[in-house]
Amino acid sequence: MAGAQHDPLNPEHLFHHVQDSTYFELPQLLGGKLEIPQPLQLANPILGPNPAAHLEAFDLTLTKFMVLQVVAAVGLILLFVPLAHRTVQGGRPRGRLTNLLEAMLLFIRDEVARPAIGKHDADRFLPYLWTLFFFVLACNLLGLVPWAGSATGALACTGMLALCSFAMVVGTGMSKLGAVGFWKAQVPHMDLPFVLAIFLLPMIFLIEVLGLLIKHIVLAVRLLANMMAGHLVLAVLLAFIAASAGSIAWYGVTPASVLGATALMLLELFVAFLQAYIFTFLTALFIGMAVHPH
Amino acid sequence: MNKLLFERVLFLGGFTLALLLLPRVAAAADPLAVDVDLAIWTAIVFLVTLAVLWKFAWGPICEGLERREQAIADNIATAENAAEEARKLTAEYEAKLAGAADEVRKVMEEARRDAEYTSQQIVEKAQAKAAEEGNRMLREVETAKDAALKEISDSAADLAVDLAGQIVGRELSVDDHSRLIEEAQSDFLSVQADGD
Repeated sequence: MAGAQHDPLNPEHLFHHVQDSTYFELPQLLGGKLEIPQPLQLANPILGPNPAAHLEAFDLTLTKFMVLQVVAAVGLILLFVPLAHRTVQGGRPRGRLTNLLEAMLLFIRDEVARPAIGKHDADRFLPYLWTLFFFVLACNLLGLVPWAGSATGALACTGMLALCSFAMVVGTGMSKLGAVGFWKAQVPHMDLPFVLAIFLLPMIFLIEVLGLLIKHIVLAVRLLANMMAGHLVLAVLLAFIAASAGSIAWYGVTPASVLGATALMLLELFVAFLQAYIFTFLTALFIGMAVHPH
Repeated sequence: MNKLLFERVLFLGGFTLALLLLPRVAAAADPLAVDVDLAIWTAIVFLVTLAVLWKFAWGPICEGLERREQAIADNIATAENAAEEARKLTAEYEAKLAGAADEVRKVMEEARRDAEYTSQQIVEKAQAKAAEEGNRMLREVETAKDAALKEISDSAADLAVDLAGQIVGRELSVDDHSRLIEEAQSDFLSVQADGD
Protein backbone atom coordinates (compact mmCIF):
# COMPACT_ATOMS: atom_id res chain seq x y z
CA MET A 1 0.00 0.00 0.00
CA ALA A 2 2.97 2.33 0.60
CA GLY A 3 3.82 2.20 -3.06
CA ALA A 4 0.21 2.86 -4.00
CA GLN A 5 0.29 6.03 -1.97
CA HIS A 6 3.16 7.28 -4.09
CA ASP A 7 1.60 6.34 -7.41
CA PRO A 8 -2.06 7.37 -7.61
CA LEU A 9 -2.39 5.62 -10.99
CA ASN A 10 -1.32 2.28 -9.57
CA PRO A 11 -4.04 -0.14 -10.73
CA GLU A 12 -4.28 -1.77 -7.34
CA HIS A 13 -4.92 1.55 -5.74
CA LEU A 14 -7.48 2.53 -8.41
CA PHE A 15 -9.26 -0.76 -8.27
CA HIS A 16 -9.53 -0.46 -4.56
CA HIS A 17 -12.00 2.41 -5.09
CA VAL A 18 -14.55 0.22 -6.84
CA GLN A 19 -13.98 -2.90 -4.79
CA ASP A 20 -15.74 -4.15 -1.75
CA SER A 21 -13.95 -3.55 1.55
CA THR A 22 -14.43 -3.91 5.27
CA TYR A 23 -14.50 -0.17 5.86
CA PHE A 24 -16.00 3.03 4.49
CA GLU A 25 -13.72 5.69 3.08
CA LEU A 26 -14.14 9.02 4.82
CA PRO A 27 -12.53 12.42 4.29
CA GLN A 28 -9.11 12.63 5.98
CA LEU A 29 -10.60 15.23 8.33
CA LEU A 30 -12.95 12.60 9.78
CA GLY A 31 -10.24 9.98 10.22
CA GLY A 32 -10.13 8.58 6.70
CA LYS A 33 -11.70 5.24 7.51
CA LEU A 34 -14.77 3.84 9.20
CA GLU A 35 -14.28 0.18 10.00
CA ILE A 36 -17.38 -2.04 9.93
CA PRO A 37 -17.70 -4.06 13.14
CA GLN A 38 -17.24 -7.80 12.58
CA PRO A 39 -19.32 -9.67 15.15
CA LEU A 40 -19.65 -12.78 12.98
CA GLN A 41 -16.22 -13.09 11.42
CA LEU A 42 -14.81 -16.60 11.78
CA ALA A 43 -11.17 -17.19 12.66
CA ASN A 44 -11.18 -20.24 10.36
CA PRO A 45 -13.05 -19.60 7.09
CA ILE A 46 -15.68 -22.13 6.07
CA LEU A 47 -14.10 -21.95 2.62
CA GLY A 48 -10.60 -20.67 2.11
CA PRO A 49 -9.80 -18.11 -0.61
CA ASN A 50 -9.21 -19.69 -3.99
CA PRO A 51 -7.76 -17.21 -6.53
CA ALA A 52 -7.85 -19.82 -9.29
CA ALA A 53 -11.67 -20.03 -9.00
CA HIS A 54 -12.05 -16.28 -8.33
CA LEU A 55 -13.35 -17.16 -4.87
CA GLU A 56 -12.74 -15.06 -1.81
CA ALA A 57 -12.74 -16.44 1.70
CA PHE A 58 -16.13 -17.47 3.05
CA ASP A 59 -15.77 -16.41 6.67
CA LEU A 60 -18.88 -14.30 7.38
CA THR A 61 -16.99 -11.02 7.07
CA LEU A 62 -19.31 -8.04 6.91
CA THR A 63 -18.44 -5.61 4.12
CA LYS A 64 -19.28 -2.17 2.80
CA PHE A 65 -21.47 -3.57 0.02
CA MET A 66 -23.53 -5.58 2.51
CA VAL A 67 -24.21 -2.42 4.50
CA LEU A 68 -25.06 -0.54 1.33
CA GLN A 69 -27.44 -3.28 0.19
CA VAL A 70 -29.25 -3.01 3.50
CA VAL A 71 -29.35 0.77 3.07
CA ALA A 72 -30.87 0.27 -0.39
CA ALA A 73 -33.40 -2.28 0.92
CA VAL A 74 -34.45 -0.10 3.87
CA GLY A 75 -34.64 2.91 1.58
CA LEU A 76 -36.94 1.05 -0.80
CA ILE A 77 -39.19 -0.12 2.04
CA LEU A 78 -39.35 3.41 3.47
CA LEU A 79 -40.24 4.80 0.04
CA PHE A 80 -42.75 2.27 -1.18
CA VAL A 81 -44.70 1.25 1.93
CA PRO A 82 -45.94 4.85 2.49
CA LEU A 83 -46.55 5.13 -1.26
CA ALA A 84 -48.68 1.99 -1.05
CA HIS A 85 -50.71 3.61 1.73
CA ARG A 86 -51.30 6.69 -0.39
CA THR A 87 -52.11 4.73 -3.54
CA VAL A 88 -54.51 2.31 -1.93
CA GLN A 89 -56.48 5.15 -0.35
CA GLY A 90 -57.43 6.29 -3.84
CA GLY A 91 -57.75 9.87 -4.95
CA ARG A 92 -55.35 11.77 -7.12
CA PRO A 93 -51.63 11.09 -6.83
CA ARG A 94 -50.21 14.23 -5.23
CA GLY A 95 -46.66 15.43 -4.83
CA ARG A 96 -43.47 14.99 -6.80
CA LEU A 97 -42.27 11.88 -5.01
CA THR A 98 -45.55 10.03 -5.44
CA ASN A 99 -45.73 10.86 -9.12
CA LEU A 100 -42.06 10.06 -9.68
CA LEU A 101 -42.34 6.63 -8.11
CA GLU A 102 -45.71 5.83 -9.70
CA ALA A 103 -44.40 6.88 -13.11
CA MET A 104 -41.52 4.41 -12.74
CA LEU A 105 -43.80 1.65 -11.45
CA LEU A 106 -46.19 2.17 -14.35
CA PHE A 107 -43.32 2.29 -16.81
CA ILE A 108 -42.09 -1.11 -15.62
CA ARG A 109 -45.63 -2.47 -15.76
CA ASP A 110 -46.75 -1.02 -19.11
CA GLU A 111 -43.49 -0.79 -21.08
CA VAL A 112 -41.51 -3.72 -19.67
CA ALA A 113 -43.63 -6.44 -18.06
CA ARG A 114 -46.75 -6.40 -20.21
CA PRO A 115 -45.08 -6.23 -23.65
CA ALA A 116 -42.47 -8.84 -22.68
CA ILE A 117 -44.65 -11.34 -20.84
CA GLY A 118 -48.11 -10.57 -22.19
CA LYS A 119 -50.96 -8.76 -20.50
CA HIS A 120 -52.47 -11.90 -19.06
CA ASP A 121 -49.45 -13.23 -17.16
CA ALA A 122 -47.47 -10.03 -16.60
CA ASP A 123 -49.13 -8.86 -13.39
CA ARG A 124 -48.13 -12.02 -11.54
CA PHE A 125 -44.46 -11.18 -12.09
CA LEU A 126 -44.75 -7.49 -11.37
CA PRO A 127 -43.70 -7.71 -7.69
CA TYR A 128 -40.51 -9.54 -8.65
CA LEU A 129 -39.72 -7.17 -11.54
CA TRP A 130 -40.46 -4.08 -9.47
CA THR A 131 -38.26 -5.27 -6.63
CA LEU A 132 -35.49 -6.22 -9.04
CA PHE A 133 -35.59 -2.88 -10.85
CA PHE A 134 -35.61 -0.73 -7.75
CA PHE A 135 -33.07 -2.84 -5.88
CA VAL A 136 -30.60 -2.67 -8.75
CA LEU A 137 -31.36 1.00 -9.28
CA ALA A 138 -30.86 1.82 -5.60
CA CYS A 139 -27.55 -0.09 -5.50
CA ASN A 140 -26.42 1.66 -8.70
CA LEU A 141 -27.36 5.08 -7.39
CA LEU A 142 -25.62 4.52 -4.07
CA GLY A 143 -22.44 4.23 -6.14
CA LEU A 144 -22.81 7.90 -6.99
CA VAL A 145 -22.95 8.94 -3.34
CA PRO A 146 -19.59 10.12 -2.04
CA TRP A 147 -17.82 7.61 0.20
CA ALA A 148 -20.42 4.96 -0.57
CA GLY A 149 -20.15 2.48 -3.42
CA SER A 150 -22.29 0.36 -5.69
CA ALA A 151 -22.83 -3.20 -4.61
CA THR A 152 -23.76 -3.95 -8.23
CA GLY A 153 -20.04 -3.50 -8.99
CA ALA A 154 -19.34 -6.90 -7.41
CA LEU A 155 -19.95 -10.14 -9.26
CA ALA A 156 -21.24 -11.79 -6.10
CA CYS A 157 -24.15 -9.33 -6.05
CA THR A 158 -25.00 -9.22 -9.77
CA GLY A 159 -24.42 -12.96 -10.05
CA MET A 160 -26.82 -13.70 -7.23
CA LEU A 161 -29.45 -11.40 -8.73
CA ALA A 162 -29.01 -13.12 -12.09
CA LEU A 163 -29.30 -16.46 -10.33
CA CYS A 164 -32.58 -15.31 -8.76
CA SER A 165 -33.83 -14.34 -12.23
CA PHE A 166 -32.67 -17.68 -13.61
CA ALA A 167 -34.50 -19.52 -10.83
CA MET A 168 -37.57 -17.39 -11.55
CA VAL A 169 -37.43 -18.18 -15.28
CA VAL A 170 -36.90 -21.90 -14.82
CA GLY A 171 -39.42 -22.09 -11.98
CA THR A 172 -42.21 -20.31 -13.89
CA GLY A 173 -41.40 -22.26 -17.03
CA MET A 174 -41.62 -25.57 -15.22
CA SER A 175 -44.77 -24.65 -13.33
CA LYS A 176 -46.40 -23.55 -16.58
CA LEU A 177 -45.25 -26.31 -18.93
CA GLY A 178 -44.37 -29.06 -16.46
CA ALA A 179 -40.85 -30.06 -15.42
CA VAL A 180 -40.31 -32.13 -18.56
CA GLY A 181 -42.33 -29.89 -20.82
CA PHE A 182 -40.21 -26.86 -20.02
CA TRP A 183 -36.96 -28.56 -20.96
CA LYS A 184 -38.55 -30.12 -24.03
CA ALA A 185 -39.79 -26.70 -25.09
CA GLN A 186 -36.19 -25.50 -25.21
CA VAL A 187 -35.80 -27.38 -28.47
CA PRO A 188 -37.74 -25.64 -31.23
CA HIS A 189 -40.06 -27.91 -33.15
CA MET A 190 -38.53 -29.08 -36.42
CA ASP A 191 -39.64 -31.56 -39.06
CA LEU A 192 -36.57 -33.77 -39.25
CA PRO A 193 -36.07 -37.27 -40.57
CA PHE A 194 -35.80 -39.69 -37.67
CA VAL A 195 -32.11 -40.50 -38.26
CA LEU A 196 -31.15 -36.84 -38.36
CA ALA A 197 -33.26 -36.07 -35.32
CA ILE A 198 -31.43 -38.60 -33.18
CA PHE A 199 -28.19 -36.73 -33.76
CA LEU A 200 -29.42 -33.18 -34.06
CA LEU A 201 -31.98 -32.86 -31.29
CA PRO A 202 -29.63 -33.60 -28.36
CA MET A 203 -27.13 -31.16 -29.76
CA ILE A 204 -29.75 -28.47 -30.22
CA PHE A 205 -30.99 -29.18 -26.73
CA LEU A 206 -27.49 -28.75 -25.36
CA ILE A 207 -26.96 -25.50 -27.27
CA GLU A 208 -30.30 -24.11 -26.16
CA VAL A 209 -29.74 -24.95 -22.51
CA LEU A 210 -26.24 -23.49 -22.67
CA GLY A 211 -27.74 -20.43 -24.30
CA LEU A 212 -30.23 -20.12 -21.45
CA LEU A 213 -27.39 -20.26 -18.94
CA ILE A 214 -25.18 -17.86 -20.86
CA LYS A 215 -28.02 -15.36 -21.21
CA HIS A 216 -28.24 -15.17 -17.43
CA ILE A 217 -24.49 -15.10 -16.91
CA VAL A 218 -24.28 -12.22 -19.37
CA LEU A 219 -27.04 -10.54 -17.41
CA ALA A 220 -24.75 -10.55 -14.37
CA VAL A 221 -21.58 -9.60 -16.23
CA ARG A 222 -23.21 -6.73 -18.14
CA LEU A 223 -24.37 -5.02 -14.99
CA LEU A 224 -21.06 -5.70 -13.24
CA ALA A 225 -18.95 -4.36 -16.12
CA ASN A 226 -21.07 -1.26 -16.56
CA MET A 227 -20.97 -0.30 -12.92
CA MET A 228 -17.36 -1.20 -12.37
CA ALA A 229 -15.97 0.39 -15.57
CA GLY A 230 -17.78 3.66 -14.98
CA HIS A 231 -16.47 4.00 -11.46
CA LEU A 232 -13.01 2.93 -12.55
CA VAL A 233 -12.84 5.60 -15.24
CA LEU A 234 -14.11 8.12 -12.72
CA ALA A 235 -11.35 7.08 -10.32
CA VAL A 236 -8.73 7.34 -13.07
CA LEU A 237 -9.87 10.82 -14.09
CA LEU A 238 -9.58 12.03 -10.52
CA ALA A 239 -6.30 10.19 -9.98
CA PHE A 240 -4.79 12.31 -12.76
CA ILE A 241 -5.06 15.26 -10.38
CA ALA A 242 -3.00 13.53 -7.72
CA ALA A 243 -0.56 12.20 -10.33
CA SER A 244 0.14 15.64 -11.70
CA ALA A 245 0.44 17.27 -8.27
CA GLY A 246 3.63 19.27 -7.86
CA SER A 247 4.18 19.87 -11.56
CA ILE A 248 3.01 22.77 -13.69
CA ALA A 249 0.65 20.41 -15.52
CA TRP A 250 -1.55 20.28 -12.43
CA TYR A 251 -3.12 23.66 -13.35
CA GLY A 252 -4.32 22.27 -16.64
CA VAL A 253 -5.14 18.77 -15.50
CA THR A 254 -7.25 19.70 -12.50
CA PRO A 255 -10.02 21.68 -14.27
CA ALA A 256 -10.10 19.17 -17.11
CA SER A 257 -10.37 16.27 -14.68
CA VAL A 258 -13.08 17.90 -12.60
CA LEU A 259 -15.12 18.79 -15.69
CA GLY A 260 -14.59 15.33 -17.14
CA ALA A 261 -15.52 13.65 -13.87
CA THR A 262 -18.66 15.79 -13.59
CA ALA A 263 -19.73 14.87 -17.11
CA LEU A 264 -18.96 11.22 -16.38
CA MET A 265 -21.01 11.41 -13.19
CA LEU A 266 -24.00 12.51 -15.27
CA LEU A 267 -23.36 9.66 -17.68
CA GLU A 268 -23.15 7.30 -14.71
CA LEU A 269 -26.49 8.61 -13.46
CA PHE A 270 -27.97 7.68 -16.81
CA VAL A 271 -26.19 4.33 -16.83
CA ALA A 272 -27.51 3.56 -13.34
CA PHE A 273 -31.08 3.83 -14.64
CA LEU A 274 -30.30 2.24 -17.98
CA GLN A 275 -28.67 -0.86 -16.50
CA ALA A 276 -31.43 -1.33 -13.94
CA TYR A 277 -33.91 -1.09 -16.82
CA ILE A 278 -31.95 -3.51 -19.01
CA PHE A 279 -31.57 -6.06 -16.22
CA THR A 280 -35.32 -5.91 -15.52
CA PHE A 281 -36.31 -5.86 -19.18
CA LEU A 282 -34.18 -8.89 -20.04
CA THR A 283 -35.48 -10.78 -17.01
CA ALA A 284 -39.02 -10.00 -18.15
CA LEU A 285 -38.14 -11.12 -21.66
CA PHE A 286 -36.70 -14.41 -20.38
CA ILE A 287 -39.78 -14.99 -18.23
CA GLY A 288 -41.93 -14.23 -21.28
CA MET A 289 -39.98 -16.75 -23.35
CA ALA A 290 -40.33 -19.37 -20.63
CA VAL A 291 -44.08 -18.80 -20.33
CA HIS A 292 -44.73 -18.61 -24.06
CA PRO A 293 -42.10 -20.78 -25.77
CA HIS A 294 -41.51 -19.78 -29.42
CA MET B 1 -25.94 18.08 -32.04
CA ASN B 2 -23.00 19.45 -30.08
CA LYS B 3 -24.26 17.70 -27.00
CA LEU B 4 -24.44 14.42 -28.87
CA LEU B 5 -20.90 14.88 -30.17
CA PHE B 6 -19.70 15.71 -26.68
CA GLU B 7 -21.36 12.62 -25.28
CA ARG B 8 -19.82 10.45 -27.98
CA VAL B 9 -16.33 11.82 -27.42
CA LEU B 10 -16.76 11.35 -23.70
CA PHE B 11 -18.02 7.83 -24.14
CA LEU B 12 -15.29 6.84 -26.55
CA GLY B 13 -12.65 8.45 -24.37
CA GLY B 14 -13.89 6.69 -21.28
CA PHE B 15 -14.20 3.42 -23.13
CA THR B 16 -10.64 3.63 -24.50
CA LEU B 17 -9.33 4.56 -21.08
CA ALA B 18 -11.14 1.62 -19.49
CA LEU B 19 -9.85 -0.74 -22.19
CA LEU B 20 -6.30 0.45 -21.64
CA LEU B 21 -6.62 0.14 -17.90
CA LEU B 22 -8.54 -3.10 -17.68
CA PRO B 23 -5.59 -5.45 -18.24
CA ARG B 24 -3.52 -3.60 -15.64
CA VAL B 25 -6.43 -3.64 -13.21
CA ALA B 26 -7.15 -7.29 -13.89
CA ALA B 27 -3.53 -8.08 -13.25
CA ALA B 28 -3.60 -6.20 -9.96
CA ALA B 29 -6.93 -7.39 -8.67
CA ASP B 30 -9.59 -9.80 -9.86
CA PRO B 31 -12.73 -8.06 -11.10
CA LEU B 32 -14.51 -11.39 -11.31
CA ALA B 33 -13.76 -12.27 -7.69
CA VAL B 34 -16.81 -13.70 -5.95
CA ASP B 35 -17.30 -13.14 -2.27
CA VAL B 36 -19.55 -15.97 -1.15
CA ASP B 37 -20.51 -13.96 1.94
CA LEU B 38 -21.68 -11.13 -0.26
CA ALA B 39 -23.55 -13.50 -2.57
CA ILE B 40 -25.45 -15.09 0.30
CA TRP B 41 -26.03 -11.70 1.86
CA THR B 42 -27.35 -10.38 -1.45
CA ALA B 43 -29.78 -13.27 -1.73
CA ILE B 44 -31.04 -12.75 1.81
CA VAL B 45 -31.39 -8.98 1.52
CA PHE B 46 -32.99 -9.20 -1.92
CA LEU B 47 -35.47 -11.91 -0.98
CA VAL B 48 -36.40 -10.22 2.31
CA THR B 49 -36.92 -6.94 0.46
CA LEU B 50 -39.00 -8.77 -2.13
CA ALA B 51 -41.13 -10.38 0.59
CA VAL B 52 -41.62 -7.18 2.60
CA LEU B 53 -42.41 -5.06 -0.44
CA TRP B 54 -44.67 -7.76 -1.90
CA LYS B 55 -46.72 -7.86 1.27
CA PHE B 56 -46.75 -4.20 2.25
CA ALA B 57 -46.16 -2.28 -0.97
CA TRP B 58 -46.66 -4.07 -4.27
CA GLY B 59 -49.97 -5.70 -3.35
CA PRO B 60 -51.68 -2.49 -2.25
CA ILE B 61 -50.03 -0.49 -5.04
CA CYS B 62 -51.20 -2.97 -7.69
CA GLU B 63 -54.68 -2.90 -6.27
CA GLY B 64 -54.70 0.89 -5.93
CA LEU B 65 -53.46 1.46 -9.47
CA GLU B 66 -55.93 -1.05 -10.84
CA ARG B 67 -58.74 0.61 -8.93
CA ARG B 68 -57.69 4.07 -10.04
CA GLU B 69 -57.57 2.98 -13.66
CA GLN B 70 -61.01 1.44 -13.31
CA ALA B 71 -62.32 4.60 -11.67
CA ILE B 72 -60.87 6.80 -14.42
CA ALA B 73 -62.35 4.54 -17.10
CA ASP B 74 -65.71 4.61 -15.29
CA ASN B 75 -65.59 8.39 -14.95
CA ILE B 76 -64.87 8.80 -18.63
CA ALA B 77 -67.72 6.45 -19.51
CA THR B 78 -70.06 8.32 -17.17
CA ALA B 79 -69.03 11.67 -18.59
CA GLU B 80 -69.57 10.40 -22.12
CA ASN B 81 -73.00 9.10 -21.18
CA ALA B 82 -73.88 12.39 -19.51
CA ALA B 83 -72.73 14.34 -22.57
CA GLU B 84 -74.80 12.08 -24.81
CA GLU B 85 -77.83 12.54 -22.51
CA ALA B 86 -77.33 16.30 -22.52
CA ARG B 87 -77.13 16.34 -26.31
CA LYS B 88 -80.37 14.35 -26.53
CA LEU B 89 -82.12 16.60 -24.02
CA THR B 90 -80.98 19.72 -25.86
CA ALA B 91 -82.33 18.38 -29.13
CA GLU B 92 -85.58 17.49 -27.38
CA TYR B 93 -85.93 20.95 -25.85
CA GLU B 94 -85.08 22.62 -29.12
CA ALA B 95 -87.80 20.59 -30.83
CA LYS B 96 -90.21 21.48 -28.05
CA LEU B 97 -89.30 25.15 -28.30
CA ALA B 98 -89.90 25.11 -32.04
CA GLY B 99 -93.26 23.40 -31.41
CA ALA B 100 -94.16 26.03 -28.83
CA ALA B 101 -93.44 28.86 -31.30
CA ASP B 102 -95.70 27.16 -33.82
CA GLU B 103 -98.41 26.82 -31.24
CA VAL B 104 -98.09 30.45 -30.26
CA ARG B 105 -98.42 31.44 -33.87
CA LYS B 106 -101.48 29.23 -34.21
CA VAL B 107 -103.09 30.63 -31.07
CA MET B 108 -102.43 34.19 -32.18
CA GLU B 109 -103.88 33.44 -35.58
CA GLU B 110 -106.97 31.91 -34.04
CA ALA B 111 -107.38 34.82 -31.67
CA ARG B 112 -107.10 37.25 -34.57
CA ARG B 113 -109.66 35.27 -36.52
CA ASP B 114 -111.96 35.12 -33.50
CA ALA B 115 -111.64 38.84 -32.95
CA GLU B 116 -112.34 39.57 -36.60
CA TYR B 117 -115.34 37.31 -36.57
CA THR B 118 -116.64 38.81 -33.35
CA SER B 119 -116.23 42.36 -34.59
CA GLN B 120 -117.91 41.50 -37.85
CA GLN B 121 -120.70 39.88 -35.91
CA ILE B 122 -121.11 42.94 -33.77
CA VAL B 123 -121.21 45.20 -36.80
CA GLU B 124 -123.73 42.93 -38.49
CA LYS B 125 -125.89 42.77 -35.42
CA ALA B 126 -125.75 46.52 -35.06
CA GLN B 127 -126.68 46.97 -38.69
CA ALA B 128 -129.51 44.49 -38.38
CA LYS B 129 -130.73 46.16 -35.25
CA ALA B 130 -130.54 49.56 -36.85
CA ALA B 131 -132.43 48.31 -39.90
CA GLU B 132 -135.09 46.71 -37.73
CA GLU B 133 -135.43 49.86 -35.71
CA GLY B 134 -135.83 51.84 -38.88
CA ASN B 135 -138.48 49.48 -40.20
CA ARG B 136 -140.29 49.54 -36.91
CA MET B 137 -140.29 53.30 -36.98
CA LEU B 138 -141.59 53.26 -40.53
CA ARG B 139 -144.28 50.82 -39.61
CA GLU B 140 -145.29 52.96 -36.65
CA VAL B 141 -145.38 56.03 -38.78
CA GLU B 142 -147.52 54.14 -41.35
CA THR B 143 -149.84 52.93 -38.63
CA ALA B 144 -150.11 56.42 -37.18
CA LYS B 145 -150.71 57.78 -40.64
CA ASP B 146 -153.44 55.20 -41.35
CA ALA B 147 -155.02 55.86 -37.97
CA ALA B 148 -154.92 59.58 -38.62
CA LEU B 149 -156.37 59.15 -42.10
CA LYS B 150 -159.09 56.90 -40.78
CA GLU B 151 -159.92 59.37 -38.11
CA ILE B 152 -159.97 62.12 -40.67
CA SER B 153 -162.22 60.09 -42.98
CA ASP B 154 -164.52 59.14 -40.12
CA SER B 155 -164.84 62.64 -38.84
CA ALA B 156 -165.20 63.92 -42.42
CA ALA B 157 -168.05 61.47 -43.04
CA ASP B 158 -169.71 62.43 -39.85
CA LEU B 159 -169.23 66.07 -40.72
CA ALA B 160 -170.58 65.48 -44.22
CA VAL B 161 -173.59 63.61 -42.86
CA ASP B 162 -174.24 66.32 -40.37
CA LEU B 163 -173.90 68.95 -43.06
CA ALA B 164 -175.99 67.00 -45.54
CA GLY B 165 -178.58 66.33 -42.87
CA GLN B 166 -178.73 69.92 -42.10
CA ILE B 167 -179.04 70.71 -45.81
CA VAL B 168 -181.39 67.95 -46.85
CA GLY B 169 -183.27 67.88 -43.54
CA ARG B 170 -185.89 65.29 -43.15
CA GLU B 171 -186.38 64.53 -46.80
CA LEU B 172 -183.98 61.79 -46.76
CA SER B 173 -185.07 58.38 -45.56
CA VAL B 174 -182.97 56.21 -43.41
CA ASP B 175 -182.08 54.08 -46.47
CA ASP B 176 -181.07 57.04 -48.52
CA HIS B 177 -179.11 58.25 -45.65
CA SER B 178 -177.09 55.08 -45.38
CA ARG B 179 -176.66 54.87 -49.17
CA LEU B 180 -175.44 58.37 -49.37
CA ILE B 181 -172.95 57.77 -46.60
CA GLU B 182 -171.59 54.68 -48.30
CA GLU B 183 -171.34 56.56 -51.59
CA ALA B 184 -169.54 59.39 -49.98
CA GLN B 185 -167.28 57.00 -48.18
CA SER B 186 -166.34 55.02 -51.26
CA ASP B 187 -165.80 58.26 -53.15
CA PHE B 188 -163.59 59.44 -50.46
CA LEU B 189 -161.70 56.14 -50.38
CA SER B 190 -161.28 56.12 -54.12
CA VAL B 191 -160.05 59.70 -54.05
CA GLN B 192 -157.73 58.72 -51.38
CA ALA B 193 -156.55 55.70 -53.34
CA ASP B 194 -155.96 57.92 -56.38
CA GLY B 195 -154.05 60.29 -54.19
CA ASP B 196 -151.73 57.52 -53.01
